Amino acid sequence: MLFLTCLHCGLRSVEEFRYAEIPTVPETMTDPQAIDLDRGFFRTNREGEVTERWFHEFGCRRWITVRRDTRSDSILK
Amino acid sequence: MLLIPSTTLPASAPVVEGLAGWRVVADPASLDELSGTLPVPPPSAGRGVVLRFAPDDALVLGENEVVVTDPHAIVEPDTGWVSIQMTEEHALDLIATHALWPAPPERPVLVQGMLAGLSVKVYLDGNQSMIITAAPFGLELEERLGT
Amino acid sequence: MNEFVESKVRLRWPEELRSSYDVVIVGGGGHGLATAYYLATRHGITNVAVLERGYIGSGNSGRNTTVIRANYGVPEAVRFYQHSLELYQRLEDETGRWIMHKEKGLLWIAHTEMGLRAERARAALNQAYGSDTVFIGPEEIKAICPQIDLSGGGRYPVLGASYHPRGATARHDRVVWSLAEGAMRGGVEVHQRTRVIGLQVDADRILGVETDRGFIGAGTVLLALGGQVSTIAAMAGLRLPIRTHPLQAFVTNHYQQGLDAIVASTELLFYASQTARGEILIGAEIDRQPSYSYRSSYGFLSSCAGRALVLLPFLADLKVLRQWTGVCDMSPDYSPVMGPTDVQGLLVTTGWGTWGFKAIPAGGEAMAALIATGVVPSLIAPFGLDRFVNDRTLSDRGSAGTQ
Ligand SMILES: Cc1cc2nc3c(=O)[nH]c(=O)nc-3n(C[C@H](O)[C@H](O)[C@H](O)COP(=O)(O)OP(=O)(O)OC[C@H]3O[C@@H](n4cnc5c(N)ncnc54)[C@H](O)[C@@H]3O)c2cc1C
Ligand SMILES: [Zn+2]
Repeated sequence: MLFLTCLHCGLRSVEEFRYAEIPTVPETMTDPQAIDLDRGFFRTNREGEVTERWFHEFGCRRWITVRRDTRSDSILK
Repeated sequence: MLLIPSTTLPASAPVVEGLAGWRVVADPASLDELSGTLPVPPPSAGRGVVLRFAPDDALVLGENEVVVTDPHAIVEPDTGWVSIQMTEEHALDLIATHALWPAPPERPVLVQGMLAGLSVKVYLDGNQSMIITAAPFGLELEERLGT
Repeated sequence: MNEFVESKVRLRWPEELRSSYDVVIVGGGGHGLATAYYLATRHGITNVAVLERGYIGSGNSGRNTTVIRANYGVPEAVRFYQHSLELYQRLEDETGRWIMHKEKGLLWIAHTEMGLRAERARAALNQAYGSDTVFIGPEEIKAICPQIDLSGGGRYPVLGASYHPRGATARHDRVVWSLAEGAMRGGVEVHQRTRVIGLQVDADRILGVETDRGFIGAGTVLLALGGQVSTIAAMAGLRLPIRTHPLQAFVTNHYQQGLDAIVASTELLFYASQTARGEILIGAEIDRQPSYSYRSSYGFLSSCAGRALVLLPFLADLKVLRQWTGVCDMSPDYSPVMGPTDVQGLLVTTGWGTWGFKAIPAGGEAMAALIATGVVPSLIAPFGLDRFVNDRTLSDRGSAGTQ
């Protein structure tokens, strides 16, 4: 199971957190409606290094930013 | 309003009790200061304690009033929490069996996380301890811990 | 037929990779192979290559818990999955292969008032759209599955269930091999250990695929890639409504008695069935983090086993034999995504998430028809990529389960 470090509470299992993607709409996309649609439904879903946000729902209820490799689930500095 | 959690030592079956305190949302520096000015716990001695939920968020127990230096602080009575009081030994035992995180060595300490699938905060002061959860989950917590 | 006396599955592996095909299917899972199978058998289209980076069935099609059912929660899905369920019933006759298809009946248990309402609604909707699901009470549940603790350990009382008598299972790798064999018999080439590493597009038209064995031209390219679909689609500049999440499952040692039905509970977040070898196969929810990691975890095992024990206390006497993970292409509305893309000649079949094994025959049949005729079959028209643009999403989270 994945473990994440909350800056306030310490190392906790991923079950305590809620995931949030940082939407990465491609820069080539300019039409506001297309951008909204992309943010709503479409995903980069990167196989590799990602930066993401997690909400520590079961603890301090604050957000943390995590760098992770989605191929191995290892946490990056 | 005197906000002191129960100091009754548990018999064999601890029960959930309402916990009334002050919820203080303020800048972290003023909360650090507040922790410094209040007498050192344990609350079992009937004195104040600052439970730091987050850098800018705390629940203060055992105080008649709370004054912080942050002029924009929000200080409100908060009765949304319940606690189960128990010996530290018992609390450590529950953490060992129902949580995926270790109890920190420092005392006094507030540790937060998932215990038996519920969101809890455990306060350990080397003597008395309490497991705190949001009021709606009190009975559920009691059942799950089988206390 | 018996596993030991039937003739060996004949997989005729091609040696040479040609420089082009009419159709290239990327991904040798159930969906890719079923599409190839139906192209050959229904449409006589055989200048087709299926490219698989590992071995066929090495993705989710060989890792799933093999539940086949049609008890979904939106009309379009009930129709689609019911058709697939019926194709599965005929698949042994059609392929001449024993896929160990077995009707078991599926109990979807409710423990709360809200759960009861959901299962009642499921039964009503299923009946209205041609799938056989009935709402039943605790006594009938006990009669179908005597092992269930109706008190739910005191905490999850069994209040009722929707019962889906046609719920079935089939041996997953036999499904994969039968379809591969049938496709190869029809003249399709299936190339294992052939990894696609790029897509070539010119002015919004697909030209072919780059592989680790060279370029292959194709008029039509179908991506049937399971959890890896986003990575490859991005090579043609495509963004998909897909997020990849691991899904774990585990199996116990042999259980002496029969657990005849498939048992599922949304509130306890688990489902269980018995394999032909007598093992109890258990699954639950996806891992929380989007990920391509195949690592299994003790955390999942202990929490899932704990929940399963609540309803099926006999599990306490069994031991865990194996645990494994697949990576699933989850769509935002828990419905599949099938059809054309903005790139001409490039098609996708994805969004199969944790529920796509049951859809292999119908998904393959429909994609084959689309490739052969150029027309999107009405059965899958609601599941196109355009539904997100047109505000026609098919939200069905409550029915997706993970089976
Ligand atoms: C634990 C688990 C339990 C499940 N339980 C059920 C269930 O009970 N009922 C149900 O209906 N569904 C279930 N599912 C879902 C079901 O398994 C999948 O939806 C289905 O198998 C998808 O088939 P597919 O052909 O689309 O993908 P896959 O079978 O994953 O096939 C994709 C193939 O593409 C290959 N590939 C990847 N990258 C490349 C590349 N670059 N080049 C070439 N080839 C590549 C992979 O190796 C793989 O073989 C479960 C899934 C899991 C993981
Ligand atoms: Zn925290």
